[in-house]
Amino acid sequence: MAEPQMLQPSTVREAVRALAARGAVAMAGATDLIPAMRKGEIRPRILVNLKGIAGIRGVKRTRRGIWIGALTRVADLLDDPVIAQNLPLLAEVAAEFASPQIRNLATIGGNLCNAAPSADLALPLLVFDATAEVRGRSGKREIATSDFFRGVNRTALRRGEILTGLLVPRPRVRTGAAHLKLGVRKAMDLAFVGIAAAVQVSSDGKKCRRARVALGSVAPTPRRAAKAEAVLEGQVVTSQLIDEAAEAAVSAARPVSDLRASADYRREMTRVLTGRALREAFRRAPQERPR
Amino acid sequence: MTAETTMTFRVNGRECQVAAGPAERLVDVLRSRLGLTGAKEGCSTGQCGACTVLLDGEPVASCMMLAADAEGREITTIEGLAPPGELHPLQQAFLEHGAVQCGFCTPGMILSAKALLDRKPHPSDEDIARALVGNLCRCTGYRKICEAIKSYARSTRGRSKRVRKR
Ligand SMILES: Cc1cc2nc3c(=O)[nH]c(=O)nc-3n(C[C@H](O)[C@H](O)[C@H](O)COP(=O)(O)OP(=O)(O)OC[C@H]3O[C@@H](n4cnc5c(N)ncnc54)[C@H](O)[C@@H]3O)c2cc1C
Ligand code: FES
Ligand code: FES
Repeated sequence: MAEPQMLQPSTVREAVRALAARGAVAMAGATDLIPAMRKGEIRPRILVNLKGIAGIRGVKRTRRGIWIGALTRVADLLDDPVIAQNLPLLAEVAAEFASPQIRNLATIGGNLCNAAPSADLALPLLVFDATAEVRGRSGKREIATSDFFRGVNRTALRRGEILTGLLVPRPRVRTGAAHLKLGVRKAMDLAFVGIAAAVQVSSDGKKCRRARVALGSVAPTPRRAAKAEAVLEGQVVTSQLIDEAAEAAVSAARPVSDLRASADYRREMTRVLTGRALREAFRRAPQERPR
Repeated sequence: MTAETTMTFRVNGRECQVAAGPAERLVDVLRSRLGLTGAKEGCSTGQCGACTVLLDGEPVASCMMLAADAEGREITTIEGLAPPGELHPLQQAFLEHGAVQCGFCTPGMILSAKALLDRKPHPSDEDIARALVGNLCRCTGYRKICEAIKSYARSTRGRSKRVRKR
């Protein structure tokens, strides 16, 4: 392997300029990059190390919601007080992500930009309608996370653009959310199927006002299950309605058979786990005004 | 051909300057350039934990990290837990409980346990299991490893109380 050169920009502007060069690749925690380089899947000429850039790491409250810097490590999500208070689902997903040794390196931005079908952190971001903040040579733009993933390892980022942060609107009142990850082991394993669900209930707790369902590992990208959401919204929540929504979620799945699981099994588990995740999300949705 | 760069970091309390390729992994620099072979290379894919070292006190897989990223930081390998020829009481507890068989996973296991105990001196069984999910052992069946960690934690109970009083 020809050794790439390493650049250490200290600002987003420098990083974006460096990434304009041919063969330049952005590097965050490198937990996806190192294996890809060793297998020869990618051969960067220049590694642009984003870790030295100030201001794109950490979690903050802003007027538009919770801002999470792209370089925030998965381990930091586990014990961040702002996450614990506002987006506990993200901490739950982080707790089942790989192992401490990987969580201490891997970043949330790398998880999204690598755009694996199994990217665990994509699911809570999709169900909370998060927006990706992007910077390139021509300035800033925002991309809804539901438009961010374009294919296996492909995102809406243009050449030379970097993800700087994620903006997550504060979940609305009476919202409950849940995540389920199915793998051989509880940790340290990519999911066969991952499901996240977030639901908002009416003030009497009977109707579903808003629903979001996201699927992982069952299509080329993490994605929302719009039909399942439509089944629920505006309806009185019953066990039968949840079963219908779970059935509808399967239509968003385009699973492949691989050495982890067959397509049929993934489809069936999409249905089963969507039902379970929705039930748990409804159970968690506070009935009265939140304390 | 790419020139080697010089990187500076602290390893086991000593300042180190190493010349290495910019994309060289930390595990290679530790083992081949610094002769610290306590970090083992098992899977090379981040899954077995044999290569675990502490970076500023936190466990990381040294096969999943470039050495250049350790610039200015503090690395602890198993060699740094106790002075040469001596054992750290946690290492001693592993020996006494039969938590070491072939020994290949042991440096990583002990460092993951050390990071846990530094944060949480009296962990629950669940805490221990969670802290060790990234360390595979093909010999011991894990139970003796957990017993060793718990026995070490019990032995520090009196000591940490005394420290708190002061
Ligand atoms: C043993 C092991 C277990 C794993 N377990 C899980 C798991 O449970 N769940 C899961 O989802 N993933 C898992 N992964 C995959 C991986 O750890 C994650 O995808 C991780 O979040 C990647 O982040 P990183 O910072 O290491 O990315 P890097 O490897 O640095 O980058 C990944 C890709 O994104 C690009 N990139 C990174 N940051 C930016 C940015 N800010 N702007 C633009 N482009 C960028 C890079 O150019 C590269 O193409 C695992 C990996 C290993 C090795
Ligand atoms: S060698 Fe690094 S985790 Fe297995
Ligand atoms: S003692 Fe042999 S792998 Fe753990």
